[in-house]
Amino acid sequence: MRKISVTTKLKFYSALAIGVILISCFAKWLVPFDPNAQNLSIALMVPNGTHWLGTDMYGRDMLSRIIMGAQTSVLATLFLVCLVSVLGTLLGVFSAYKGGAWDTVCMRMADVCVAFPGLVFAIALASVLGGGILNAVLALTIISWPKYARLARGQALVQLEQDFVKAARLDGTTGFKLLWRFIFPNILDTMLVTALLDFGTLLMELAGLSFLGLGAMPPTAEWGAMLSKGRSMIQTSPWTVLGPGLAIFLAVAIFNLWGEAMRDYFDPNLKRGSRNA
Amino acid sequence: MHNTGKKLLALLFVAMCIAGCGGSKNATTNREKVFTYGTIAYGPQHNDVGLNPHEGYSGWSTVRYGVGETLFKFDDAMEPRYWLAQSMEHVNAKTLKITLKDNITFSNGRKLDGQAVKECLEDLLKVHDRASGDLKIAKIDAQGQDVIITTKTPLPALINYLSDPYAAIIDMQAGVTADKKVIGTGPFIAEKVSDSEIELVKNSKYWEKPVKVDKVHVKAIHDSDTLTMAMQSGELDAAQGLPYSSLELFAKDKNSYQVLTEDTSRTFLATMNFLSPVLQNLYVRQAIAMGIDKANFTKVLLKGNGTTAIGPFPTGMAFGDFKVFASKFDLVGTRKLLESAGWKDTDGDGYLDKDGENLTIRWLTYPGRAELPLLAETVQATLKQAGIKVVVNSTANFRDFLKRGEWDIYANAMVTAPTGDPEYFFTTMALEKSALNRGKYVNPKLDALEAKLSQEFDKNKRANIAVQMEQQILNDVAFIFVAHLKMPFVMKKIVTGFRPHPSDYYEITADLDKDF
Repeated sequence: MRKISVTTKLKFYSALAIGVILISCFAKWLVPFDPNAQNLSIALMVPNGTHWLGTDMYGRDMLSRIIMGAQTSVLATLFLVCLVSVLGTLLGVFSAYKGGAWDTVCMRMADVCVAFPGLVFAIALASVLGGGILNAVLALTIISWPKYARLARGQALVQLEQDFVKAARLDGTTGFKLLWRFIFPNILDTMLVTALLDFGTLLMELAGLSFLGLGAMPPTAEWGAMLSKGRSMIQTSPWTVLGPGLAIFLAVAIFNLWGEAMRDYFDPNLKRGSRNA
Repeated sequence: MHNTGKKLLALLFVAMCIAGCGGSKNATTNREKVFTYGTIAYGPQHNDVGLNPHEGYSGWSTVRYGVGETLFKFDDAMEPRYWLAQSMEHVNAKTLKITLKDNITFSNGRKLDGQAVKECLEDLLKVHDRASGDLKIAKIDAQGQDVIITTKTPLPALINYLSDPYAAIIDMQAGVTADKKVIGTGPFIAEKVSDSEIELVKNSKYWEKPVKVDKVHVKAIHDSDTLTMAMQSGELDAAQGLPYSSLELFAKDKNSYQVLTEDTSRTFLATMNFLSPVLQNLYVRQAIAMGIDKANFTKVLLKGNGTTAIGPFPTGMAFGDFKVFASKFDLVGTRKLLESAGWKDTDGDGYLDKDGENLTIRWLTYPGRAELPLLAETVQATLKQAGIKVVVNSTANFRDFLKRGEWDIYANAMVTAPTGDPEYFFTTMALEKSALNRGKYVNPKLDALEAKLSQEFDKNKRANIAVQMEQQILNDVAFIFVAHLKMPFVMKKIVTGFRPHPSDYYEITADLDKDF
């Protein structure tokens, strides 16, 4: 059986992931019905020709809510991943470059943040701040940035010892210019792959907070919140949980596979020949 | 050697067979009848842990699970009837003489007499947080089988309050154990009590009638889906508190299960915050009340397990819903009322606005009762059609939001007539000095009516005053009453003698039985 090349895999999963992101961005125009419009006379309708994935307990179209839910779940996760990876990378790289007190304070802050059990801390924070998707994102940001800061710091310390960086320093290149030209480009692939592999985890954590009532607030369609609403009806109206459950499963699988394909693509151990084999 | 091996194998097989025959707690050994009961209503969050009736709401557990009994017991119309009491006599407006039945003993053998009741009620008044305020007792005297209670002021609802589970009679000489066990007069004796489980054995000396089951295990299961699955797996003989959405699973399997429901005075209500500027306008409050589709909420989201409410009390009571009126669901009327109050959609965003601000209502509720968030969301959708923006905050942390005043409407579930008397609701929720008047609603007319109610002994006249008070709070739209709930119980077909009661107090009784 012919092996699929790393590049082909990357292209395939990139297309799928971008497809999901595009659906999320244009959800408003793709939904067949108003996802928030209630019609109690058609509550809990089984999937049929009009409502392909059935209706929920309020008579809202499940397909429309799942598509609209992609906007909340995927875009919020995308925002969260960007936020934690950029914030963590910047803090980690500056820690490595500055050293001393800056490094100590930054890394101890990271230690404090990771000392709490992740989701429990997020639940506690979201409880204090109140519900809402932005508060859930903030809670997860606080517990997720240290991973990136530590990784970026380690990578940056290695790069700072490289001869070409020392040469650049001797040449008078310092500060932001040094980091921008010589450090960030050399750690970018590692940070990117880590962020993509984290996407699935963070999507599930965000959905978990919504499931517990600490994320998206009604009537916002969000996959975790939809699962939570439907779980008591799993035996009587299973479509109310199958739809959002499947959506979470597919989104997590696609972004995980995309991350793995990206990691393989950047893996220096895989020679150019094997990439195209 | 070979034969020895075979013998050992045979022995092992026999041992395994014997071990396999050993049953779980639920199984019946030596023809012992064990009844296993799952409930969502027992545990620290309900403040009813243990069986000491003098602590919080634990009296509910004392009476519910058949350990303790009160002097009077509510009938199906929530009227107090004699239970441990044989007769009573109003000596004067402040003095009540109760004569106890002569054939009653506590489960430890001590005879129930006036002195035992006096000791119990005196401890209740000393330690319980609500009892002394409700009962207003000045003095208790005991003479043989008689108990003479003197109140500080005339108290028409004294018998109702003595029927409250906190007034369950326990043997104070035996006291309360560290794990909150007590000695009562009921058909069951507590063997083991914890935060999540109660184990009971039958009281073979029960005074009223023979007790049919030998043991009862009460298990607290707070996740309603877990409760559903425990019932389906056969682990439980009966369950209380299953979600309405699960009931049809059992209702359609008539050969294995029975589903019993009972109308209760547990009511979904919404309290208006009179400190909120937007709700100080009567038209806005009336518009919101008119914009809630109670009928569809009850029919579709409660799946018919409730009745549409008008006032605080269900129709079955003498002062119930059939005596009062409130505006019906009408979105056009809602819009007109809001326009009268000066709200118009000037920016075309679908929401009414005034002075550049949208008409926004912060709806606070909690997810502990599964149907409250459903109410919030359906209200949000219908009021949106009338141009009102409802921001739902459904949080387990709701008490903090109440304290901080960060709410406009607070929706909760409440037993409005736990003692079968209307006064409790008004004194608790609606008067200027009421402890739970969260919305700071004040109407001197209502306080004046309460002054009359508190002095009135005649039942019909009490009902008439209560109806006037109900109508007053409905006219002021201080509260919106949405639905009176039905309490569902699911049990195996083999269970008999389990009868739901409107009060929600009497569940495990001497009549409870199960066939093999």
